[in-house]
Amino acid sequence: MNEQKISTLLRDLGAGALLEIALIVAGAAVLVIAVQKALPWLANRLRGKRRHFLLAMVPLLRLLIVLAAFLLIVPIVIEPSLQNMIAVLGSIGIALGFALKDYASSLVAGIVAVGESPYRTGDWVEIAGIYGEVKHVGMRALQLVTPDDDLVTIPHLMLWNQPISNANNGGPQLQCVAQFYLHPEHNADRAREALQDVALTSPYLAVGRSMTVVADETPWSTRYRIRAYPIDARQQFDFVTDLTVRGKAELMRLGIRFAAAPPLREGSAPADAG
Amino acid sequence: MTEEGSNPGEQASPSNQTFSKETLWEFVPLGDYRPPDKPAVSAAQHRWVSLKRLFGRGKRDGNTPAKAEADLSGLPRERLDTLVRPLDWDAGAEVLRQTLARDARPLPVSFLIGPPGGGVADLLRALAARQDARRIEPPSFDDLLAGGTAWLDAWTGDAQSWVLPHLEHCWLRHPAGLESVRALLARASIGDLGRGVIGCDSWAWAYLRHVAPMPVAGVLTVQALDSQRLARLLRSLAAVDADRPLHFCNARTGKRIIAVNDEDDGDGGLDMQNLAAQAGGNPAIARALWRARLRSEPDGDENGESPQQDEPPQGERDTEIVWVSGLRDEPELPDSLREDAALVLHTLLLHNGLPAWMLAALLPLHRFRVQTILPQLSAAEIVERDLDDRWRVTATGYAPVRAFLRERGFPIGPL
Repeated sequence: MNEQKISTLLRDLGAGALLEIALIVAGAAVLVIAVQKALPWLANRLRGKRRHFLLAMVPLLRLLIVLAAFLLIVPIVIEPSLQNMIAVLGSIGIALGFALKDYASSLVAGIVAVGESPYRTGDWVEIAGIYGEVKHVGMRALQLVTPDDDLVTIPHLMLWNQPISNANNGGPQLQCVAQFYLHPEHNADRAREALQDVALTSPYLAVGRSMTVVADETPWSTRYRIRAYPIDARQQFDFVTDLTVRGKAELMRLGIRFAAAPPLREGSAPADAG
Repeated sequence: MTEEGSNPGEQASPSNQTFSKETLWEFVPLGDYRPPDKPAVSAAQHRWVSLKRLFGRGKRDGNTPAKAEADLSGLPRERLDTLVRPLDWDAGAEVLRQTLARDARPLPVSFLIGPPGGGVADLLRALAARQDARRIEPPSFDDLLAGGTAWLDAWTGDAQSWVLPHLEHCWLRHPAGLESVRALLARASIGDLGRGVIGCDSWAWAYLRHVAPMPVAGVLTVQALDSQRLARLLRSLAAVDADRPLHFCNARTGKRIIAVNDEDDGDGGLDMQNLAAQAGGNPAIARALWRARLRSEPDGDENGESPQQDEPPQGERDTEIVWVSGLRDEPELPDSLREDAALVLHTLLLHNGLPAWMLAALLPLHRFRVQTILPQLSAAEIVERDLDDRWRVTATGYAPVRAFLRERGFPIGPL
């Protein structure tokens, strides 16, 4: 591309144009920061669907602001013709594709994540074995806070080839599971009814949502699982703890024994425990 | 009603004589209950306060009362007993009896549902006395936690009609605390227990629908009073000298709300609409809210200066004035309260009050935590402790607590 072609491609950027670009960039930055601060602040004062809706709006609004700024800047820098646009954007695409492949991939995946919504701020997700609440969905990466209060940053490009498990999918509630391993010899009907009542009497239970107790046999025990929803997703650990503690107490009150693994003999391999 | 008779009924005002009890008590199926409309101004104010709270600026002036209202003092109990006499439960029970008798196909058991503090138990106690029915007391906490149906077996078997005023005290939200109420409702619904009437708090009712065999028919509630009927009720409850007018005036604006023994007795206006909306139109709750807000000028005020901003109505030298404070205010939940307090309040409402030790037994909270939260709520006038050691949500605290729990997604009572 010779000098003449480049001169027809790019506009002559005088001081006025540079100032205009600087103002657009600054305005977009201020808006993005304001959205990223104000909406989560407001959302954390709300509960339920309204909270999740506001949190989910953050990356979408940010994307719209960045796109708007980009569309405003391009005509200032480039002579806005179809040929010029194809030439410049194509060059940028090739440069990004080779030099900043992963970064660009994460940026594109971030845009896809806004559209497909596999995770939103406030969701409880598991990505690559890491479980936690999504605290921030950025341009390149998202941030999770695990139950142990660790902040984990995960690039969006994981979206391409990793399964993403979302426990509440934008809603305020998620299903929790409390497990009990009981000695195989017991009255199963009685145990199941007792565990149903344990769930129904939990102060965290979202009354009216489905609640089930499922049972299956393992080699050393009968396993019961209470599947129920807490009122708020953030209560999930309190909820499971409450079900476990009160479930144990109730089963013991009814005289139902818990399973115990057989003792290991010295030098022998443990049997399959299922 | 014995309590009614113990009051100075001889001084009853003319309005008391003309008030028809039938216009006060109306029992309708639960689905036909219609709460009184909230005044548009009040609704807008409520939204504005909610918005300010959302942005952390919700500290209302009510925490630092206006000087005029702060200068007022509470009335002695004897005076309150005269100005706001007890409701005539006997009259209500008679209307309830007639309503039940009108049913062409009477069910073995009927239910009367009401909000906390709504007087359901008082009505049913009066009904039991009127019909000479057996009054069933709830089981003890120990009986409930032991499981089984020993309590139920102890009083069933005779053919006498019966009344159970407190279904909400016949269960506990505990795995062992549901058996007796399930057995009771199952046997009552098929007529095994004879003919009976069960009273239940609306919060317990809403919860029990998910855990026990609840009926779909024969469920009544007290229809809401509108502001005009409420004004008539409150006038009728004031026992005063027949020749001396009595005015109830808004302490903030000085305007008359209602009057007794006066040509123009007033319809209550916006203040009464607010009161009706806050009480959900329930006579007992409205009476409790009204009684809690009556004030007088301090005895030492010799200057004759009224605490109000405007002058009271002119030309009434012998008129007695009682000030009504904070009709549009509700107590606020302390900002420091966390989710633990929501669990405490929800559990208290489900059981219509519990002792602190039982509250700690039902909740996944350490006892010290419960003993920390309850005094905080009590200081904010959200809960109070009864003579029977049960902590309950106050009449004035009920509306904000209901809104607080609804906002957090807790299942709430329909009334």
